[in-house]
Amino acid sequence: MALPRSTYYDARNRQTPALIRARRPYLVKNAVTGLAITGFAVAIYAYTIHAIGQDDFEDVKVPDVPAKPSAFTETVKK
Amino acid sequence: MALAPELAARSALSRICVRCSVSLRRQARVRNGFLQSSQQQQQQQQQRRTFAGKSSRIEPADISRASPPQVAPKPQSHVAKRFSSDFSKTAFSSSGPSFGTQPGQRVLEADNLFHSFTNSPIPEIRRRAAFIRQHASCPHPHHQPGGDMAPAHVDFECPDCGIPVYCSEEHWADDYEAHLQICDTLRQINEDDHDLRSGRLFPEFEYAGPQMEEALINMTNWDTFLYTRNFNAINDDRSMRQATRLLTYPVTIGSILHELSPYSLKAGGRLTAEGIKSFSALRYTLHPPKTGGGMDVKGLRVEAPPVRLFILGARAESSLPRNAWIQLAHLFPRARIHLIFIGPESMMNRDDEFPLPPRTPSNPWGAIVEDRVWHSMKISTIVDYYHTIHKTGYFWPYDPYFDCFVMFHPGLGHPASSHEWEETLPMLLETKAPIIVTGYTQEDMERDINWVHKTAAGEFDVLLEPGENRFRSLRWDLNDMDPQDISAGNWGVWAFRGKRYETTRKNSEP
Repeated sequence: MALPRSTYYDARNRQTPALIRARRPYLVKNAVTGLAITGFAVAIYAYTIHAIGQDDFEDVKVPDVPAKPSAFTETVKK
Repeated sequence: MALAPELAARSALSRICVRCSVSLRRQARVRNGFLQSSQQQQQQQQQRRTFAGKSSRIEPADISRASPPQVAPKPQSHVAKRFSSDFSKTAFSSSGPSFGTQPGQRVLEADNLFHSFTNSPIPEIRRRAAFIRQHASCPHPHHQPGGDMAPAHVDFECPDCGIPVYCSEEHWADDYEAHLQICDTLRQINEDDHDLRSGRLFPEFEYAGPQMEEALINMTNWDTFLYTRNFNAINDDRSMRQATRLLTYPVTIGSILHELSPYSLKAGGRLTAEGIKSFSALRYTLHPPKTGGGMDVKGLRVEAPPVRLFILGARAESSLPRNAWIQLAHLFPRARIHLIFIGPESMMNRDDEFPLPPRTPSNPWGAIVEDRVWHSMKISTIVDYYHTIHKTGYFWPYDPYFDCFVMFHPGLGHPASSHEWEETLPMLLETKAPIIVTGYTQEDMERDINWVHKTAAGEFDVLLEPGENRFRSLRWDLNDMDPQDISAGNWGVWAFRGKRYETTRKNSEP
């Protein structure tokens, strides 16, 4: 059984003029709200990337010589 | 299945006209007798009535004989002078029958709606053109009181709007600038009238059912209202005009009384402090809390009596299709509503419901009661002047929590009708119930307001500042007596109420 189709969308799911008219009083408000939410999310993402990008991992000590295989791994290989 | 309500809506719309006259109505009544005989649907209704069979309906004389005994005491001719909107062209009940086609058969295509009124393919409109030619006079300044020519009837049809507007082509050309201001609107009226009789399918007259309790209604404008009320989408502007012409009556009332009303106390919101008092009282009754009642004996609860909406001077609105009025019940699902149409013309266009019930002790005003139009709505129609009923105390007591008066284009200040309201107005003010008034145009509304200010100065409070109605009819209507006079149903709305003097001392004791 198919769900009843809303008459406010045409066969290709585009808005009909009636829906566009009904949404018109809220067009600007909704656009501003949408932009504000998007901006906030993008800002958080950008800040995160920015904050992570500061880290040059200088506190991580990299040994000059690669570590020698331990006695345990030697025995396992045998 | 949906054909019957659609037909009813179409017929109602086709009969709406503005400010009609005695002679037109008389003419319509005669035509009614003949035409109805060709309409099967109405015949069936007639046969159900005990009053008359087919034969007596066909005689126009019988119809006029049938109405008088129970009708208002005042003579009809006197009544008909009222400046009014009503269903004048009674004869035309639906697009099809009068020119021998089946309803639903397409007569005019959507791109072929503009026709000159005089040479219209639809006989009903040709008759209307003849009526305009006989009654309307030429608006050219030469015919005005100061001019040098005697008044003349219109004879020349403007080729752009197809409506006879001037007495001759010379006058039309001479006064073209004035005509240009209304020509587009007249053309729109012309096309809308033809559209209504084009025999197309009218999906816009299928209304929405009950509202989901959780879904709030947005009354910002027609579009948001129809969308949130879950109506089928009405995409076309023309369909919008046809649909709103009927829906404007219930929705105008609803938009003022509803708790989600677009009129508010905010600046520019038009509601006054007195207004919020009155309407809050009504909203208290119209939006009661859930009672927790149920269908069984345990669920029995005391229910509030219905809210009484008195529609005074009812004309077109009393014969509005009932499913349009039910839209009002859908706006207030928990309240019960009693619509009472009162007025000498309140049975206009409801010929198949004659004769009126006899005036008995249990029904002293011979009201036609339509109980259970909807489970929470009842409609009564009384053919009499309101002040006559008021004086007997039939509806007494009036309670601001339960009563509201509505007057759709009453023409309070119109010279032809204001004398009829003179007696009514003090009684309305005395009830202290809100009175909602609409007007055809700004001019019409302002004339009403001035008249009320003049007649009852200092005796009333304005509840809703006068202004354009958010739910006005989008369709424009033509006044057949004067084609220059264009109006829209319920164009403007305002409300007032008798003043309450609660703080005045009754006796100043020393």
